[in-house]
Amino acid sequence: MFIDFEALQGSFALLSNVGDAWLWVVPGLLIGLVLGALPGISITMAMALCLPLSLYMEFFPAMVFLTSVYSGAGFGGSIPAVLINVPGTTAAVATTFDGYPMARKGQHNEALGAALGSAMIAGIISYILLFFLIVPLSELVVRMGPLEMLCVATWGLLMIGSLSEASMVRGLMAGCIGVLIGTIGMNTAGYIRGTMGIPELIDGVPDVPALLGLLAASQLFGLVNSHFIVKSGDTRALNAKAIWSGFSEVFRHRMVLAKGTLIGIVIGAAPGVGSSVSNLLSYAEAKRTAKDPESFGTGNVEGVIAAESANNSGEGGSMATMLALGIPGGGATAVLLAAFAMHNIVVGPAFVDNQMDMVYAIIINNIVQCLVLIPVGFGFIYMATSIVKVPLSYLIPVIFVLATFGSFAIDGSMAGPVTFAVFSVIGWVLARYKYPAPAVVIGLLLGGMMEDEALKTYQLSNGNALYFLERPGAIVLLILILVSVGASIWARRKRYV
Amino acid sequence: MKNKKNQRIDWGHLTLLVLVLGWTIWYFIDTRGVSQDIQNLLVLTPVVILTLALGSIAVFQSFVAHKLPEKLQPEKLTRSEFGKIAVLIVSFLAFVAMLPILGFDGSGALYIALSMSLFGERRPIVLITFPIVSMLVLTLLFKALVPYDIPTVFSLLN
Repeated sequence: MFIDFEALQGSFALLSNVGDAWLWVVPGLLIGLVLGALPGISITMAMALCLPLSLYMEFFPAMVFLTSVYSGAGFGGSIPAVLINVPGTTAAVATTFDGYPMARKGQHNEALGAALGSAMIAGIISYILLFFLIVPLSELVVRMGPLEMLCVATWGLLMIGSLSEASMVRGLMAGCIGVLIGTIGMNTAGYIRGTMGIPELIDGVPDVPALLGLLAASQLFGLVNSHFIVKSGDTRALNAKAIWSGFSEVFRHRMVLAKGTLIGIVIGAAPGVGSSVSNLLSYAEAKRTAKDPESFGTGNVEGVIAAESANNSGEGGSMATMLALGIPGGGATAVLLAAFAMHNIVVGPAFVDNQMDMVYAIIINNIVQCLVLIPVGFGFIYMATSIVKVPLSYLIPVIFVLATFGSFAIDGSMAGPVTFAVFSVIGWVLARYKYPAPAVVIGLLLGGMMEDEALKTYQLSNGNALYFLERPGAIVLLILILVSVGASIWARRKRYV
Repeated sequence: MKNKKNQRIDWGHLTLLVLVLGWTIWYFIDTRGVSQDIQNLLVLTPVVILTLALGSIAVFQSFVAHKLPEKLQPEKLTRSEFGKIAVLIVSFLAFVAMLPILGFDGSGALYIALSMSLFGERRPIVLITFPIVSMLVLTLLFKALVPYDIPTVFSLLN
């Protein structure tokens, strides 16, 4: 049995002794929701902004506060993704694929309800699994080398095929353009390419401003001839019942949720990958196995559930790696790690061995947060959906200015706004000629990662093509990829025969 | 008849492809110019070849645009609709270009006012107050959140 009951008992004692810590859950969630919903303010930045506040708290209240910000920001990014096609964070990219089309059809309440339901349930499942599997999961993750990561990146890139319903040629070409853009700058072998002498490009094209431009502008410039995001006045209303109906949709698509949650946990646990990849993989998997894959991208609630479940379960996965190994899965867990260090606590194998009661207390606290997210998130999205009542004459210019601020906020240089502007134009032109902007985004997000991992694999294997036979994890992933692609091709053939 | 003949070649799509494929070829030449080491070309070479192959199919498609299915045709826009989008894009680019000169608040307020008028807003009081108030709120919000100096009219004047 994986549960240490003595430590579990200790964790309950710990939780009852620090009752005031729970007071930080709602403020933390609200701060996270607001910051996560602002384009350009990443989850990491939201947590970094709150880190100084936690210095003045005791250790456990500080953890409760920071992990609440983490949970709130994770879900907050999906709100602008649904309402205005602008993902608040990179983890919400796939949420735009069906969330925004649902909003355009007047189903914004349902889309946000489904996003909230998926976030909450996937979060709880991931933490319950973490309860049992924290040690084996972290051991699995530490065995993932560059070749396995290369397989994960390739799997993500293959999703481009599923975004190419209109034309496979244009979809793949858009993906290739994204990969090429993602490789601009200095690679891990030290070669600098395609920078045109611009020093800011040595670190590569800034991905957040680029994806904001590609996704937002491809849709928003074209709205200059409309008056509201939702055309019909009747469906523009705020509707708590519809939000609840969207929330309950999650229970009707349990398999989509389960697969998204599993993908989110495993990918989220892998250091350096995180939710920005898992939401894309989960979406692709949901589309591949759907009865009506052609409805994806036009406002299918399953797309929202798949993306959001993977997005939010990734939090549990990255917490596992952080607590058990002391390795941050991404920027947000790096901030948490800093918070631990500021309170003189070193996480890692010794922490799990000696202070399992604290580990359980942190996990239970996160499960409680997911439950509290229901009323807090419900109230927040009820207010946020009023955005569809704002005329586009006010909304569109403010969205562009807000996204420009967000692009600047990433590193405080003009490179962000300039990248956002350039990619806004590229996004609109590509969308006009039916090149899917999301395919460029996927290529951009995964292209650089694929090249890095391919180079590391090449260096480790000395160019030996049979190296993968020495890596059972990579063989399993390769088989999964082949099965997934084969099944997609078979399903596509069956649909058109 | 003349109209139909004109639709045979999609000049807009063709121009886009020339730019994309031209950039792809330039990028590959630039990369090879840096080094021909396999660690420089490992991923780029196959992706460039695939892009050029797919691009040549797309170029062919742009020459037979009239035969393509409706879902691959660009959305039909009237001259006025197209003009509005073009002005919105140009004004947005101008807004970003003016950021170092007028700051986020000044440049943003002008951009919002211009965009609102493009969307049909004609009330002077709204065109003046909404951009100023919204930029004030956004600037103060981001100044509070972001650890970097945000250029504003006043900071640039000082």
